[in-house]
Amino acid sequence: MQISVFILVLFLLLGIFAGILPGLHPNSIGAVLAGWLGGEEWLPVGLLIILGAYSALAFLPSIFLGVPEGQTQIALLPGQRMLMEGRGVEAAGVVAFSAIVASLLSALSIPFILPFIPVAFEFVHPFIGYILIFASVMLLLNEGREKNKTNENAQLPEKEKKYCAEEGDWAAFGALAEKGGQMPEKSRKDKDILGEKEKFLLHFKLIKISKALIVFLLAGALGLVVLNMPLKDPLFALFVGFFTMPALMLAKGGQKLPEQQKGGKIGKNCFAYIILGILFGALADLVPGISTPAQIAVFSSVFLRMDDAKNFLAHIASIEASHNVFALASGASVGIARVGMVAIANELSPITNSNLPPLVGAFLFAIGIGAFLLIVFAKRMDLLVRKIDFSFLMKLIAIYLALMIFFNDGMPGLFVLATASMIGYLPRVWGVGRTNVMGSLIIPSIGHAFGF
Amino acid sequence: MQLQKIEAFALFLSIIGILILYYWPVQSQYAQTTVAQIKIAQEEKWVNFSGKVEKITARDEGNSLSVCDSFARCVSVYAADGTAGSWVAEDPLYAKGDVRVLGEVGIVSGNRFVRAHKIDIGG
Repeated sequence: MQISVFILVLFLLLGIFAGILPGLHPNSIGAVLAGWLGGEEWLPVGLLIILGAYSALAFLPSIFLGVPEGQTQIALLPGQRMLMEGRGVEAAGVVAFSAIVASLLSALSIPFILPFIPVAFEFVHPFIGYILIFASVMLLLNEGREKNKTNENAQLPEKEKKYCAEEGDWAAFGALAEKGGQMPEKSRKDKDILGEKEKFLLHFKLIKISKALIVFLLAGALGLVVLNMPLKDPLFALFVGFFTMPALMLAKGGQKLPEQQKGGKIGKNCFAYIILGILFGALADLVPGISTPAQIAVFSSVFLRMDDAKNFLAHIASIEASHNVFALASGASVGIARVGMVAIANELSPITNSNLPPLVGAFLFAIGIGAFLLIVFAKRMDLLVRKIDFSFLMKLIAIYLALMIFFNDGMPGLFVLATASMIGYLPRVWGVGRTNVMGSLIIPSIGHAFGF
Repeated sequence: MQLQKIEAFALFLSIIGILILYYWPVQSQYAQTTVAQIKIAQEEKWVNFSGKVEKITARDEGNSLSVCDSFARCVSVYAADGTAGSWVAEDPLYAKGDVRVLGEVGIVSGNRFVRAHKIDIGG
Protein backbone atom coordinates (compact mmCIF):
# COMPACT_ATOMS: atom_id res chain seq x y z
CA MET A 1 0.00 0.00 0.00
CA GLN A 2 1.28 3.45 -0.87
CA ILE A 3 0.48 6.70 0.86
CA SER A 4 -1.52 9.14 -1.25
CA VAL A 5 -0.01 12.47 -2.25
CA PHE A 6 -2.83 14.32 -0.49
CA ILE A 7 -2.11 12.61 2.84
CA LEU A 8 1.61 13.10 2.37
CA VAL A 9 1.18 16.86 1.88
CA LEU A 10 -1.23 17.04 4.81
CA PHE A 11 1.27 15.40 7.19
CA LEU A 12 4.06 17.56 5.83
CA LEU A 13 2.04 20.68 6.66
CA LEU A 14 1.41 19.34 10.17
CA GLY A 15 5.17 18.84 10.61
CA ILE A 16 5.89 22.35 9.35
CA PHE A 17 3.40 23.91 11.75
CA ALA A 18 4.73 21.82 14.63
CA GLY A 19 8.23 23.07 13.84
CA ILE A 20 7.56 26.76 13.54
CA LEU A 21 4.93 27.10 16.26
CA PRO A 22 6.54 26.74 19.68
CA GLY A 23 4.52 24.61 22.06
CA LEU A 24 2.95 22.44 19.38
CA HIS A 25 4.85 19.23 20.09
CA PRO A 26 4.77 16.44 17.48
CA ASN A 27 4.27 13.82 20.22
CA SER A 28 0.97 15.50 21.12
CA ILE A 29 -0.07 15.46 17.45
CA GLY A 30 1.04 11.83 17.17
CA ALA A 31 -0.96 10.77 20.22
CA VAL A 32 -4.12 12.46 18.90
CA LEU A 33 -3.69 10.95 15.42
CA ALA A 34 -2.98 7.48 16.82
CA GLY A 35 -6.28 7.54 18.71
CA TRP A 36 -8.16 8.85 15.73
CA LEU A 37 -6.60 7.03 12.77
CA GLY A 38 -4.91 4.15 14.59
CA GLY A 39 -5.89 1.42 12.13
CA GLU A 40 -4.72 3.19 8.98
CA GLU A 41 -1.75 1.45 7.41
CA TRP A 42 -0.15 4.68 6.29
CA LEU A 43 -0.28 6.42 9.69
CA PRO A 44 3.26 5.39 10.82
CA VAL A 45 4.63 6.86 7.58
CA GLY A 46 2.63 10.02 8.21
CA LEU A 47 4.07 10.32 11.73
CA LEU A 48 7.60 10.04 10.34
CA ILE A 49 6.82 12.82 7.86
CA ILE A 50 5.71 15.06 10.73
CA LEU A 51 8.86 14.19 12.69
CA GLY A 52 11.17 14.87 9.74
CA ALA A 53 9.78 18.32 8.92
CA TYR A 54 9.66 19.19 12.61
CA SER A 55 13.27 18.09 13.26
CA ALA A 56 14.64 20.68 10.87
CA LEU A 57 12.19 23.52 11.42
CA ALA A 58 12.22 23.37 15.23
CA PHE A 59 15.55 25.22 15.03
CA LEU A 60 13.82 28.29 13.55
CA PRO A 61 12.24 29.54 16.82
CA SER A 62 15.39 28.49 18.70
CA ILE A 63 17.63 30.67 16.56
CA PHE A 64 15.40 33.67 15.83
CA LEU A 65 13.16 33.90 18.87
CA GLY A 66 15.24 32.27 21.58
CA VAL A 67 12.45 29.81 22.24
CA PRO A 68 13.53 26.29 23.15
CA GLU A 69 11.59 23.82 21.06
CA GLY A 70 11.26 20.06 21.37
CA GLN A 71 14.52 18.26 21.93
CA THR A 72 16.72 20.99 20.51
CA GLN A 73 16.62 23.18 23.65
CA ILE A 74 20.35 23.57 23.85
CA ALA A 75 20.55 24.83 20.25
CA LEU A 76 19.24 28.21 21.24
CA LEU A 77 22.51 29.08 22.97
CA PRO A 78 24.81 28.99 19.91
CA GLY A 79 21.89 29.95 17.65
CA GLN A 80 21.15 33.11 19.61
CA ARG A 81 24.85 33.90 19.80
CA MET A 82 25.09 33.81 15.99
CA LEU A 83 21.91 35.86 15.65
CA MET A 84 23.38 38.55 17.89
CA GLU A 85 26.46 38.58 15.66
CA GLY A 86 24.25 39.16 12.62
CA ARG A 87 24.66 35.54 11.47
CA GLY A 88 21.13 34.20 12.01
CA VAL A 89 20.65 33.12 8.39
CA GLU A 90 24.05 31.44 8.41
CA ALA A 91 23.04 29.58 11.59
CA ALA A 92 19.94 28.28 9.79
CA GLY A 93 22.16 27.20 6.89
CA VAL A 94 24.48 25.32 9.25
CA VAL A 95 21.52 23.51 10.82
CA ALA A 96 20.00 22.65 7.42
CA PHE A 97 23.31 21.34 6.04
CA SER A 98 24.09 19.33 9.17
CA ALA A 99 20.61 17.81 9.34
CA ILE A 100 20.76 16.75 5.68
CA VAL A 101 24.23 15.20 5.88
CA ALA A 102 23.52 13.49 9.21
CA SER A 103 20.18 12.06 8.02
CA LEU A 104 21.67 10.75 4.81
CA LEU A 105 24.75 9.19 6.40
CA SER A 106 22.73 7.72 9.27
CA ALA A 107 20.26 6.18 6.83
CA LEU A 108 23.09 4.72 4.75
CA SER A 109 24.72 3.23 7.84
CA ILE A 110 21.56 1.44 9.04
CA PRO A 111 22.24 -1.87 7.22
CA PHE A 112 25.70 -2.03 8.80
CA ILE A 113 24.78 -1.11 12.37
CA LEU A 114 21.50 -3.04 12.59
CA PRO A 115 23.12 -6.35 13.66
CA PHE A 116 25.21 -4.64 16.35
CA ILE A 117 22.43 -2.73 18.10
CA PRO A 118 21.25 -5.60 20.36
CA VAL A 119 24.87 -6.33 21.40
CA ALA A 120 25.54 -2.66 22.14
CA PHE A 121 22.32 -2.43 24.17
CA GLU A 122 23.39 -5.32 26.37
CA PHE A 123 26.90 -3.98 26.77
CA VAL A 124 26.04 -0.39 27.72
CA HIS A 125 23.06 -1.05 29.97
CA PRO A 126 24.86 -2.01 33.25
CA PHE A 127 27.18 1.04 33.13
CA ILE A 128 24.76 3.78 32.23
CA GLY A 129 24.45 5.25 35.74
CA TYR A 130 28.23 5.49 36.13
CA ILE A 131 28.62 7.00 32.64
CA LEU A 132 26.09 9.69 33.54
CA ILE A 133 27.79 10.50 36.86
CA PHE A 134 31.22 10.70 35.22
CA ALA A 135 29.88 12.95 32.47
CA SER A 136 28.13 15.20 35.03
CA VAL A 137 31.34 15.61 37.04
CA MET A 138 33.23 16.45 33.85
CA LEU A 139 30.54 18.97 32.94
CA LEU A 140 30.92 20.77 36.26
CA LEU A 141 34.72 20.69 36.26
CA ASN A 142 34.63 22.06 32.75
CA GLU A 143 32.88 25.12 34.17
CA GLY A 144 36.06 26.23 35.93
CA ARG A 145 38.19 25.51 32.88
CA GLU A 146 35.96 27.37 30.47
CA LYS A 147 35.73 30.50 32.54
CA ASN A 148 39.45 30.58 33.10
CA LYS A 149 39.98 30.38 29.35
CA THR A 150 37.62 33.31 28.91
CA ASN A 151 39.53 35.30 31.51
CA GLU A 152 42.74 34.96 29.57
CA ASN A 153 41.15 36.55 26.54
CA ALA A 154 39.23 39.34 28.19
CA GLN A 155 40.49 42.81 28.94
CA LEU A 156 40.08 44.80 32.13
CA PRO A 157 39.66 48.55 32.20
CA GLU A 158 43.05 50.23 32.80
CA LYS A 159 41.83 51.98 35.94
CA GLU A 160 40.85 48.71 37.59
CA LYS A 161 44.11 47.01 36.57
CA LYS A 162 46.07 49.82 38.15
CA TYR A 163 44.02 49.64 41.32
CA CYS A 164 44.67 45.95 41.72
CA ALA A 165 48.35 46.24 41.06
CA GLU A 166 49.01 49.21 43.33
CA GLU A 167 46.69 48.49 46.18
CA GLY A 168 47.24 44.75 46.23
CA ASP A 169 43.53 44.28 46.83
CA TRP A 170 43.27 40.61 45.99
CA ALA A 171 39.60 40.31 46.72
CA ALA A 172 38.97 43.00 44.16
CA PHE A 173 41.37 41.28 41.78
CA GLY A 174 39.52 38.03 42.24
CA ALA A 175 36.23 39.70 41.46
CA LEU A 176 37.78 41.32 38.43
CA ALA A 177 39.44 38.09 37.36
CA GLU A 178 36.01 36.55 37.44
CA LYS A 179 34.84 39.21 35.03
CA GLY A 180 37.79 38.55 32.75
CA GLY A 181 40.80 40.20 34.31
CA GLN A 182 44.50 39.83 33.48
CA MET A 183 47.19 39.69 36.14
CA PRO A 184 48.90 43.07 36.22
CA GLU A 185 52.42 42.91 34.76
CA LYS A 186 54.03 44.35 37.87
CA SER A 187 52.56 41.68 40.08
CA ARG A 188 53.42 38.84 37.73
CA LYS A 189 57.10 39.40 38.35
CA ASP A 190 56.69 38.78 42.01
CA LYS A 191 56.86 35.05 42.67
CA ASP A 192 55.14 35.22 46.06
CA ILE A 193 52.34 37.25 44.70
CA LEU A 194 52.14 34.87 41.76
CA GLY A 195 51.44 32.11 44.27
CA GLU A 196 48.71 34.28 45.73
CA LYS A 197 47.29 34.77 42.29
CA GLU A 198 47.11 31.02 41.75
CA LYS A 199 45.34 30.66 45.07
CA PHE A 200 42.80 33.27 44.15
CA LEU A 201 42.20 31.85 40.72
CA LEU A 202 41.67 28.44 42.29
CA HIS A 203 39.39 30.02 44.87
CA PHE A 204 37.25 31.66 42.20
CA LYS A 205 37.30 28.56 40.06
CA LEU A 206 35.93 26.62 43.03
CA ILE A 207 33.28 29.28 43.59
CA LYS A 208 32.29 28.97 39.93
CA ILE A 209 32.05 25.21 40.15
CA SER A 210 30.05 25.49 43.38
CA LYS A 211 27.62 27.90 41.75
CA ALA A 212 27.33 25.62 38.73
CA LEU A 213 26.70 22.69 41.07
CA ILE A 214 23.91 24.60 42.83
CA VAL A 215 22.25 25.35 39.47
CA PHE A 216 22.74 21.73 38.37
CA LEU A 217 21.21 20.34 41.60
CA LEU A 218 18.32 22.81 41.73
CA ALA A 219 17.46 22.06 38.11
CA GLY A 220 17.80 18.35 38.87
CA ALA A 221 15.41 18.59 41.83
CA LEU A 222 12.90 20.42 39.67
CA GLY A 223 13.37 17.83 36.92
CA LEU A 224 12.65 15.01 39.38
CA VAL A 225 9.39 16.68 40.41
CA VAL A 226 8.29 17.74 36.94
CA LEU A 227 8.99 14.44 35.19
CA ASN A 228 6.79 12.70 37.75
CA MET A 229 3.92 15.13 37.29
CA PRO A 230 1.05 14.21 34.98
CA LEU A 231 1.86 16.96 32.45
CA LYS A 232 1.29 16.71 28.71
CA ASP A 233 4.50 18.46 27.75
CA PRO A 234 6.67 18.87 30.86
CA LEU A 235 9.89 19.63 28.99
CA PHE A 236 8.36 22.57 27.18
CA ALA A 237 7.35 24.39 30.37
CA LEU A 238 10.70 23.48 31.94
CA PHE A 239 12.92 24.79 29.14
CA VAL A 240 10.89 27.89 28.37
CA GLY A 241 11.46 28.69 32.04
CA PHE A 242 15.16 27.88 31.97
CA PHE A 243 16.05 29.74 28.79
CA THR A 244 13.41 32.09 27.40
CA MET A 245 11.98 33.75 30.51
CA PRO A 246 15.36 34.75 32.00
CA ALA A 247 16.28 36.27 28.62
CA LEU A 248 13.07 38.28 28.81
CA MET A 249 13.78 39.40 32.37
CA LEU A 250 17.16 40.73 31.30
CA ALA A 251 16.06 42.17 27.94
CA LYS A 252 16.59 45.91 27.66
CA GLY A 253 13.89 48.16 26.22
CA GLY A 254 14.39 49.37 22.66
CA GLN A 255 16.87 46.60 21.92
CA LYS A 256 17.04 45.71 18.25
CA LEU A 257 18.82 42.90 16.51
CA PRO A 258 21.94 43.70 14.54
CA GLU A 259 21.64 43.71 10.76
CA GLN A 260 21.79 40.16 9.57
CA GLN A 261 24.17 39.03 6.86
CA LYS A 262 22.41 37.74 3.77
CA GLY A 263 24.29 34.52 3.41
CA GLY A 264 27.26 32.69 4.74
CA LYS A 265 29.47 29.76 3.97
CA ILE A 266 29.48 26.50 5.80
CA GLY A 267 33.11 25.69 6.40
CA LYS A 268 34.75 22.28 6.22
CA ASN A 269 35.40 22.45 9.97
CA CYS A 270 31.71 21.74 10.57
CA PHE A 271 32.01 18.38 8.90
CA ALA A 272 33.96 16.80 11.75
CA TYR A 273 31.33 17.99 14.22
CA ILE A 274 28.58 16.56 12.03
CA ILE A 275 30.28 13.14 11.92
CA LEU A 276 30.76 13.22 15.68
CA GLY A 277 27.14 14.30 16.02
CA ILE A 278 26.06 11.19 14.09
CA LEU A 279 28.08 8.98 16.43
CA PHE A 280 26.68 10.71 19.50
CA GLY A 281 23.18 10.51 17.97
CA ALA A 282 23.56 6.73 17.75
CA LEU A 283 24.65 6.77 21.38
CA ALA A 284 21.46 8.64 22.34
CA ASP A 285 19.47 5.69 21.03
CA LEU A 286 21.60 3.13 22.80
CA VAL A 287 21.76 4.64 26.24
CA PRO A 288 18.60 4.65 28.31
CA GLY A 289 18.43 7.88 30.27
CA ILE A 290 20.26 9.98 27.73
CA SER A 291 17.25 10.35 25.57
CA THR A 292 17.43 13.86 24.22
CA PRO A 293 19.95 15.34 21.78
CA ALA A 294 20.31 18.26 24.17
CA GLN A 295 21.71 15.96 26.87
CA ILE A 296 24.12 14.35 24.43
CA ALA A 297 25.23 17.74 23.14
CA VAL A 298 25.97 18.96 26.65
CA PHE A 299 28.04 15.88 27.43
CA SER A 300 29.93 15.98 24.17
CA SER A 301 30.72 19.67 24.77
CA VAL A 302 32.79 18.50 27.73
CA PHE A 303 35.05 16.48 25.46
CA LEU A 304 34.99 18.56 22.28
CA ARG A 305 36.07 22.14 21.67
CA MET A 306 32.83 24.06 21.15
CA ASP A 307 34.22 27.59 21.10
CA ASP A 308 32.76 28.22 17.66
CA ALA A 309 28.97 28.57 17.81
CA LYS A 310 28.74 27.28 14.25
CA ASN A 311 30.42 23.99 15.11
CA PHE A 312 28.27 23.54 18.20
CA LEU A 313 25.12 24.16 16.18
CA ALA A 314 26.24 21.71 13.47
CA HIS A 315 26.89 19.15 16.18
CA ILE A 316 23.44 19.56 17.79
CA ALA A 317 21.59 19.48 14.46
CA SER A 318 23.36 16.30 13.40
CA ILE A 319 22.68 14.65 16.78
CA GLU A 320 18.98 15.52 16.44
CA ALA A 321 18.70 14.15 12.88
CA SER A 322 20.73 10.98 13.40
CA HIS A 323 19.01 10.28 16.73
CA ASN A 324 15.69 10.09 14.88
CA VAL A 325 17.02 7.86 12.10
CA PHE A 326 18.75 5.50 14.53
CA ALA A 327 15.56 5.36 16.64
CA LEU A 328 13.95 3.67 13.65
CA ALA A 329 16.83 1.19 13.41
CA SER A 330 16.62 0.58 17.13
CA GLY A 331 12.86 -0.01 16.85
CA ALA A 332 13.40 -2.55 14.06
CA SER A 333 16.27 -4.26 15.84
CA VAL A 334 15.27 -4.45 19.51
CA GLY A 335 11.74 -3.04 19.46
CA ILE A 336 12.69 -0.03 21.58
CA ALA A 337 12.48 3.48 20.17
CA ARG A 338 13.61 6.43 22.28
CA VAL A 339 11.93 9.08 20.12
CA GLY A 340 8.28 9.72 20.97
CA MET A 341 6.92 9.73 17.42
CA VAL A 342 8.89 6.60 16.46
CA ALA A 343 7.62 4.87 19.61
CA ILE A 344 4.02 5.73 18.64
CA ALA A 345 4.63 4.46 15.09
CA ASN A 346 6.13 1.29 16.56
CA GLU A 347 3.06 0.74 18.72
CA LEU A 348 0.70 1.23 15.79
CA SER A 349 2.57 -1.23 13.62
CA PRO A 350 5.80 -2.79 14.90
CA ILE A 351 8.81 -1.58 12.96
CA THR A 352 10.48 -4.48 11.20
CA ASN A 353 13.21 -4.82 8.60
CA SER A 354 10.51 -5.02 5.92
CA ASN A 355 8.77 -1.75 6.74
CA LEU A 356 11.90 0.13 7.81
CA PRO A 357 12.80 1.48 4.31
CA PRO A 358 9.53 3.37 3.67
CA LEU A 359 9.70 4.86 7.19
CA VAL A 360 13.30 6.03 6.63
CA GLY A 361 12.30 7.30 3.17
CA ALA A 362 9.43 9.29 4.68
CA PHE A 363 11.77 10.83 7.26
CA LEU A 364 14.42 11.74 4.65
CA PHE A 365 11.80 13.28 2.38
CA ALA A 366 10.38 15.41 5.16
CA ILE A 367 13.67 16.51 6.71
CA GLY A 368 14.86 17.51 3.23
CA ILE A 369 11.80 19.71 2.76
CA GLY A 370 12.13 20.96 6.34
CA ALA A 371 15.79 21.93 5.81
CA PHE A 372 14.92 23.72 2.58
CA LEU A 373 12.12 25.65 4.26
CA LEU A 374 14.34 26.44 7.24
CA ILE A 375 16.65 28.47 4.98
CA VAL A 376 13.73 30.04 3.09
CA PHE A 377 11.99 31.07 6.33
CA ALA A 378 15.26 32.21 7.95
CA LYS A 379 15.83 34.73 5.16
CA ARG A 380 12.37 36.18 5.80
CA MET A 381 12.51 35.89 9.58
CA ASP A 382 15.57 38.06 9.47
CA LEU A 383 13.56 40.90 7.88
CA LEU A 384 10.65 40.40 10.27
CA VAL A 385 12.65 40.22 13.47
CA ARG A 386 14.91 43.15 12.54
CA LYS A 387 12.03 45.56 11.91
CA ILE A 388 10.48 45.24 15.33
CA ASP A 389 11.70 45.96 18.81
CA PHE A 390 13.27 42.68 19.92
CA SER A 391 12.42 43.12 23.61
CA PHE A 392 8.78 43.91 22.70
CA LEU A 393 8.73 40.78 20.54
CA MET A 394 10.16 38.79 23.44
CA LYS A 395 7.34 39.98 25.69
CA LEU A 396 4.73 38.96 23.13
CA ILE A 397 6.42 35.57 22.81
CA ALA A 398 6.53 35.16 26.58
CA ILE A 399 2.77 35.82 26.83
CA TYR A 400 2.13 33.40 23.97
CA LEU A 401 4.32 30.72 25.60
CA ALA A 402 2.69 31.16 29.00
CA LEU A 403 -0.73 30.78 27.34
CA MET A 404 0.43 27.67 25.47
CA ILE A 405 1.75 26.17 28.71
CA PHE A 406 -1.49 27.02 30.49
CA PHE A 407 -3.47 25.52 27.59
CA ASN A 408 -1.39 22.32 27.69
CA ASP A 409 -0.93 21.81 31.42
CA GLY A 410 -2.99 24.40 33.30
CA MET A 411 -1.80 25.88 36.59
CA PRO A 412 0.74 23.09 37.30
CA GLY A 413 2.41 24.00 34.00
CA LEU A 414 2.61 27.65 35.01
CA PHE A 415 4.06 26.63 38.38
CA VAL A 416 6.79 24.68 36.57
CA LEU A 417 7.39 27.68 34.30
CA ALA A 418 7.77 30.08 37.24
CA THR A 419 10.13 27.80 39.18
CA ALA A 420 12.24 27.00 36.12
CA SER A 421 12.44 30.73 35.30
CA MET A 422 13.92 31.46 38.71
CA ILE A 423 16.49 28.69 38.35
CA GLY A 424 17.22 29.75 34.77
CA TYR A 425 17.93 33.28 36.01
CA LEU A 426 20.78 32.10 38.26
CA PRO A 427 23.36 31.16 35.58
CA ARG A 428 22.96 34.58 34.01
CA VAL A 429 23.53 36.53 37.22
CA TRP A 430 26.25 34.18 38.49
CA GLY A 431 28.08 34.00 35.18
CA VAL A 432 28.05 30.22 34.94
CA GLY A 433 27.09 28.13 31.92
CA ARG A 434 23.40 27.88 31.14
CA THR A 435 23.96 24.26 30.12
CA ASN A 436 24.03 23.40 33.84
CA VAL A 437 20.23 23.49 33.87
CA MET A 438 20.44 20.22 31.94
CA GLY A 439 20.75 18.72 35.41
CA SER A 440 16.94 18.68 35.15
CA LEU A 441 17.19 15.76 32.75
CA ILE A 442 20.49 14.25 33.84
CA ILE A 443 19.72 13.79 37.55
CA PRO A 444 16.40 11.98 36.92
CA SER A 445 18.26 9.82 34.38
CA ILE A 446 20.89 8.92 36.98
CA GLY A 447 18.12 8.07 39.46
CA HIS A 448 16.41 5.95 36.83
CA ALA A 449 19.65 4.15 36.00
CA PHE A 450 20.08 3.13 39.66
CA GLY A 451 16.48 2.03 39.96
CA PHE A 452 15.05 4.97 41.96
CA MET B 1 29.11 25.63 1.02
CA GLN B 2 26.71 28.41 0.03
CA LEU B 3 23.08 28.59 1.06
CA GLN B 4 21.79 28.03 -2.49
CA LYS B 5 23.75 24.79 -2.69
CA ILE B 6 22.37 23.66 0.67
CA GLU B 7 18.83 24.38 -0.56
CA ALA B 8 19.49 22.26 -3.65
CA PHE B 9 21.01 19.54 -1.48
CA ALA B 10 17.90 19.59 0.73
CA LEU B 11 15.61 19.14 -2.26
CA PHE B 12 17.85 16.33 -3.53
CA LEU B 13 17.49 14.55 -0.18
CA SER B 14 13.72 14.91 -0.26
CA ILE B 15 13.66 13.38 -3.76
CA ILE B 16 15.73 10.43 -2.52
CA GLY B 17 13.34 10.07 0.39
CA ILE B 18 10.24 10.07 -1.75
CA LEU B 19 11.76 7.56 -4.17
CA ILE B 20 12.48 5.19 -1.28
CA LEU B 21 9.00 5.76 0.11
CA TYR B 22 7.30 4.90 -3.17
CA TYR B 23 9.72 2.11 -4.16
CA TRP B 24 9.08 0.22 -0.92
CA PRO B 25 5.32 0.22 -0.37
CA VAL B 26 4.13 0.38 3.20
CA GLN B 27 3.59 -3.20 4.30
CA SER B 28 0.91 -3.59 6.87
CA GLN B 29 1.50 -5.83 9.84
CA TYR B 30 -2.14 -6.87 9.59
CA ALA B 31 -2.45 -9.86 7.24
CA GLN B 32 -5.61 -9.95 5.14
CA THR B 33 -7.40 -13.01 6.56
CA THR B 34 -10.73 -14.83 6.52
CA VAL B 35 -12.66 -16.13 9.50
CA ALA B 36 -11.75 -19.67 8.45
CA GLN B 37 -8.04 -18.83 8.40
CA ILE B 38 -8.26 -17.30 11.88
CA LYS B 39 -9.45 -20.68 13.18
CA ILE B 40 -6.01 -22.10 12.39
CA ALA B 41 -3.89 -18.96 12.72
CA GLN B 42 -0.89 -18.76 15.03
CA GLU B 43 -1.22 -16.94 18.31
CA GLU B 44 -0.21 -13.23 18.21
CA LYS B 45 -0.63 -13.04 14.44
CA TRP B 46 -1.95 -9.64 13.36
CA VAL B 47 -5.03 -10.05 11.22
CA ASN B 48 -7.40 -7.93 9.17
CA PHE B 49 -10.76 -9.47 8.31
CA SER B 50 -14.37 -8.56 7.62
CA GLY B 51 -17.66 -10.02 8.74
CA LYS B 52 -21.06 -9.35 10.20
CA VAL B 53 -21.65 -8.80 13.89
CA GLU B 54 -24.08 -11.49 15.06
CA LYS B 55 -23.93 -11.25 18.82
CA ILE B 56 -22.57 -8.87 21.42
CA THR B 57 -21.74 -9.90 24.98
CA ALA B 58 -20.80 -7.31 27.57
CA ARG B 59 -17.61 -8.06 29.51
CA ASP B 60 -16.01 -6.40 32.55
CA GLU B 61 -13.82 -4.01 30.57
CA GLY B 62 -15.25 -4.20 27.07
CA ASN B 63 -17.40 -6.26 24.78
CA SER B 64 -17.14 -9.58 22.96
CA LEU B 65 -18.49 -9.58 19.44
CA SER B 66 -19.26 -12.68 17.47
CA VAL B 67 -18.25 -11.80 13.90
CA CYS B 68 -19.36 -14.24 11.20
CA ASP B 69 -18.69 -14.69 7.50
CA SER B 70 -21.21 -15.52 4.78
CA PHE B 71 -20.84 -19.27 5.52
CA ALA B 72 -21.91 -18.66 9.15
CA ARG B 73 -18.43 -19.41 10.44
CA CYS B 74 -17.87 -17.15 13.42
CA VAL B 75 -14.97 -15.90 15.47
CA SER B 76 -15.06 -14.09 18.78
CA VAL B 77 -13.63 -10.57 18.82
CA TYR B 78 -12.79 -8.93 22.12
CA ALA B 79 -12.96 -5.11 22.02
CA ALA B 80 -11.62 -3.62 25.22
CA ASP B 81 -13.04 -0.27 26.31
CA GLY B 82 -11.24 2.48 24.45
CA THR B 83 -10.40 0.37 21.41
CA ALA B 84 -10.81 2.48 18.29
CA GLY B 85 -14.28 1.83 16.89
CA SER B 86 -15.43 -0.29 19.82
CA TRP B 87 -18.40 2.04 20.22
CA VAL B 88 -19.91 0.05 17.35
CA ALA B 89 -20.91 -2.56 19.92
CA GLU B 90 -22.75 0.04 21.97
CA ASP B 91 -24.69 1.58 19.11
CA PRO B 92 -27.86 -0.26 18.08
CA LEU B 93 -27.62 1.26 14.59
CA TYR B 94 -24.36 -0.53 13.88
CA ALA B 95 -24.51 -3.44 16.32
CA LYS B 96 -25.65 -5.94 13.72
CA GLY B 97 -23.76 -4.47 10.78
CA ASP B 98 -20.72 -5.36 8.72
CA VAL B 99 -17.38 -4.53 10.26
CA ARG B 100 -13.71 -4.75 9.43
CA VAL B 101 -11.57 -5.84 12.35
CA LEU B 102 -7.85 -5.19 12.80
CA GLY B 103 -6.45 -7.20 15.66
CA GLU B 104 -4.29 -9.91 17.11
CA VAL B 105 -5.06 -13.61 17.41
CA GLY B 106 -5.24 -14.97 20.95
CA ILE B 107 -5.95 -18.45 22.31
CA VAL B 108 -7.95 -19.19 25.46
CA SER B 109 -8.67 -22.81 26.43
CA GLY B 110 -7.78 -23.91 22.93
CA ASN B 111 -10.25 -21.51 21.30
CA ARG B 112 -8.99 -18.77 19.03
CA PHE B 113 -10.30 -15.25 19.32
CA VAL B 114 -9.21 -11.86 18.03
CA ARG B 115 -8.16 -9.06 20.38
CA ALA B 116 -9.33 -6.01 18.43
CA HIS B 117 -6.98 -3.09 17.84
CA LYS B 118 -9.52 -1.28 15.72
CA ILE B 119 -13.00 -1.85 14.36
CA ASP B 120 -14.19 -0.14 11.20
CA ILE B 121 -17.80 0.09 10.10
CA GLY B 122 -18.55 -1.47 6.75
CA GLY B 123 -15.90 -4.03 6.20
